[in-house]
Amino acid sequence: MKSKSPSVDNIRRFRATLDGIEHEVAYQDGEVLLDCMLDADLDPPFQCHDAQCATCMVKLIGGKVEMRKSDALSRRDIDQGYVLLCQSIPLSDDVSVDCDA
Amino acid sequence: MSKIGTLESVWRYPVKSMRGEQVDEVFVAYTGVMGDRLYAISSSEAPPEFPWHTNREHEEFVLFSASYKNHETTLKPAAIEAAFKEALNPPYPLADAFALEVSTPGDETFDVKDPAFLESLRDKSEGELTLHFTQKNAVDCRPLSLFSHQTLVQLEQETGLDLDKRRFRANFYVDWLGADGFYENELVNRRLRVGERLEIMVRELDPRCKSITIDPDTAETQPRILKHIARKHNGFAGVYAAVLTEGSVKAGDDFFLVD
Repeated sequence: MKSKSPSVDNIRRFRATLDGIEHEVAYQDGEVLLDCMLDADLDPPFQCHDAQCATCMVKLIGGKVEMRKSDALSRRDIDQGYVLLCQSIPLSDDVSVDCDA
Repeated sequence: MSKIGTLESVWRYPVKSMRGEQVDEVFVAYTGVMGDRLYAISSSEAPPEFPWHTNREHEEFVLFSASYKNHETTLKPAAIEAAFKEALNPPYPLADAFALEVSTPGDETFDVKDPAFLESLRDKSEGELTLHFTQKNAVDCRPLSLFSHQTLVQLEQETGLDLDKRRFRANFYVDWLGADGFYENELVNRRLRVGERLEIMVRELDPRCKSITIDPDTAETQPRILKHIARKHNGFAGVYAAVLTEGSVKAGDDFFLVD
């Protein structure tokens, strides 16, 4: 399912599975995944927006992201592929996350 | 005053983020349950407003258990009855009374002040770890946390998960009388009496974090419960309370609505 179409051409997309449905979500350089999903009228679970609560921890299935900070995640979480939606910025064009994991 | 429920069990957590202990009868001071979170481990890498080494970054920390060496002296101040008779605030014992032993999941036992204990945690943190002791209770927000049997049942029904109440790390687990789940949310700013003397005021809802995703027996995580609470209950489950009048409580005590 495609999210709202952006009005500019240079926008890329990442994939996010939420409630069993895969969405293609538009982003621009430097945007965090959570904000992009909210802009696309999706409702991923989140609370603090500040890397503290870990409500928005999701599994990175493909691609690369950079987390601005990851206070609420353990080394074990990160080793298992979890990232925080509220802190993750896509670094590659093939980013895919599973919000149901 | 109307009876609204029963205190199902009382818990304290001698070391913040470690496994809790259920106690039979305990004094509750303005600072919270006696012996609750008197010890905490801080990390130099954690933010200054929340410097603690917790089960967020070290899930197995919930498998560590701690027990006071002189258990009985940590449950009630010695002069409690005399102090209450004179309407005085009963003085706490000296810090030495709260000497503590920690048992690790690997069956090692340390005196909490033994440098070897912190050394054993060194590879679990990016930062330098320091032991803190306070008689003021190193709680996150308020002196007391309450969670109800009804809320647990509702969350189990909503998620289909079998949930251990210990995930919610409350001081008081309460069985409300004829109420539904999340009834405690309706008690914000209400004054309650527990047992014969303790009076508390429910102050706010308890915002939940990763801690509740951690199984208290295995340290495995289940993010779904936190996500569910975020979506269906605005991120809150349970309530925080302040203590208005100190007193002792025990399992089976009644909860009364004062006003």
